[in-house]
Formats: sequence, C-alpha cells, structure tokens
Amino acid sequence: MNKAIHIDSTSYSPEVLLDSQGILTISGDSRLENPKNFYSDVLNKVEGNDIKLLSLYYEYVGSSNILSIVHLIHELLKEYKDLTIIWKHDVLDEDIQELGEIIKDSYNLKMTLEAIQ
Amino acid sequence: MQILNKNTLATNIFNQLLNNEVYISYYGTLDFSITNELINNVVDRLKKDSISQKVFKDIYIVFAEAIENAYKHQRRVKEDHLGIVFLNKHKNKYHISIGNIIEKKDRVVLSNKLNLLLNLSKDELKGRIREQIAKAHPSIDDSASIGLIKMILHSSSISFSFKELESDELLFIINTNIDIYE
Repeated sequence: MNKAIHIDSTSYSPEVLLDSQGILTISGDSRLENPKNFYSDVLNKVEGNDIKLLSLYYEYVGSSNILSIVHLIHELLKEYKDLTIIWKHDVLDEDIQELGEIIKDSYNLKMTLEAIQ
Repeated sequence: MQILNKNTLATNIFNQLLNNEVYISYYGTLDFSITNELINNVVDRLKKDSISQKVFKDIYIVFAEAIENAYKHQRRVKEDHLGIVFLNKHKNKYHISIGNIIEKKDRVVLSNKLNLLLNLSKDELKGRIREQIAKAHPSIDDSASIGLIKMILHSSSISFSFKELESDELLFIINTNIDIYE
C-alpha cells in the first residue's frame, strides 16, 4: 500500500503528488535555486513505495534544473524497472515538448510524450 | 570606452527608460528571492497584456534564463550582488536588458562564447542543447550555455555589451528584443 505524498507547488517549484495507485505526478514550474536538493528530497520521500507511473507535466524548466530531473528519472528507473514514464506538454508548448524529446533520445528512455489540449 | 560611476550608470538607465513603457526596472542586489520576485512581477504584468501564449512564453523564458544567468555568474561586489534588470515595451517589441558585474579578465572568454553562439543557425543551436544535455553529468552544473542558447532561440534579436566601471570591473549587459507579432 502506497503512502500518499504531496508537496505543494510554489511559483518556482513543481507540485509533487504520489497517490495510492502508485502514480507519481510532478507538475508546474521548475526553476529552483537548488534543484538537486529538491529532487533528492522527492526521491527520499517516495522511497519504499511501489511506483508504477511517473507523470511529468512541466510548464517551465530552467536550464539549471534539467539535469536534476534527468537524475530523478534515472534513479527511479534503477528502483522500478517497469516504470512507465509520461512526459506531458501543452500542445502549443514547443519548448517543453522538445525538452522531452531531447531527454528521451539522449538517454534512450522508454518515455511517452503526450500533448495536452 | 567611457568609464561609468554608479550615479552616471543610474542616470543613463533612467534616460533610456523615459520613452518606454516600463514594466520592470531594478538596480541593486540580486539574490534568488529577489530574482524570483521580479519573475513573478513580470508574469503578473504580462497577464494584463493581450499577447499570444507563444510571446508570453518567449518573454518568460528569456527573462528567467537571463536573470538566473546574471544572478549565478555575477561577481561579488563588496557585500552586494549588483545587477540591473529591465523589461520595457516599446511599440511592437518587448525589450529585456539584464546586467551583472564581471571581472575584466572574463570579457574575452564571454565575448567569444556569445559570438560563437550568435553565429549559429536555429538547428545548430538546438543541436548544442542536445549535446549539452547528453554529455552532461547531474553533479556538474554546466547549464550556462543552455541558458544562453535558450535566450537566443526565444528572442527576435539579441546583443551584448560591456561597460567599464570606475571600480575597474565591467558591467556585462545582455539586451534582447521580442517582437509581439511573429
């Protein structure tokens, strides 16, 4: 049984939600001053839960935050081999779409990109 | 090159702003809290404008990347992290100027890096972002180039300048324009 986890969003940090079904959703802006600390904290909080789906739905990712998100994905994949990853983006948001494509291609990830109307 | 003192700099800045619709004008310490507040103010102000989502996003990206770049790479000047931040609207353009203090010795490296990026095509710039992300290691923060590339990709035009300060340092300023009708 998963323990529900919720971290509120701010104007510079995303909302993080892990539900009882094992769906970890991260959404909003990520332009953190210390992204490594934030995403390490997320990993610590979700540790021990059975995560089946990682849903990423960013509106903005600052350039200094990109690699911390990549690191989060890698760490989750180490723990959950069958993890499904969905990278969502607004249908008109080419920047976030392209970032998803770059991360997927660069690290050969099984990640689905999904345009949201 | 004209050598500026702080008062002259402030007067120059004020004069430049007289003919523009000023959204943000800031001169002083830059830290994360202040940069975040400035970004939030820009978002609130832009929401009142009738602009497309694309133009909104372009301004947001350029402003956020530029101010983060200035904040992270500025040279400590006494106790202050001195920076300048402007966002103006003039006719059909938004104009963003963001500056920070650098050491004189950094000028050549910075100029060369920017001139190289400014001469690349859009596809080449996107290729650079791919390279940076693919080769990077999460423990190493080498995001400055990605930030500069994103600023170039999302600007209609971009230039940079150096102003010599009487403190024997340089004020490095990035100027960008974003057209409203694209």
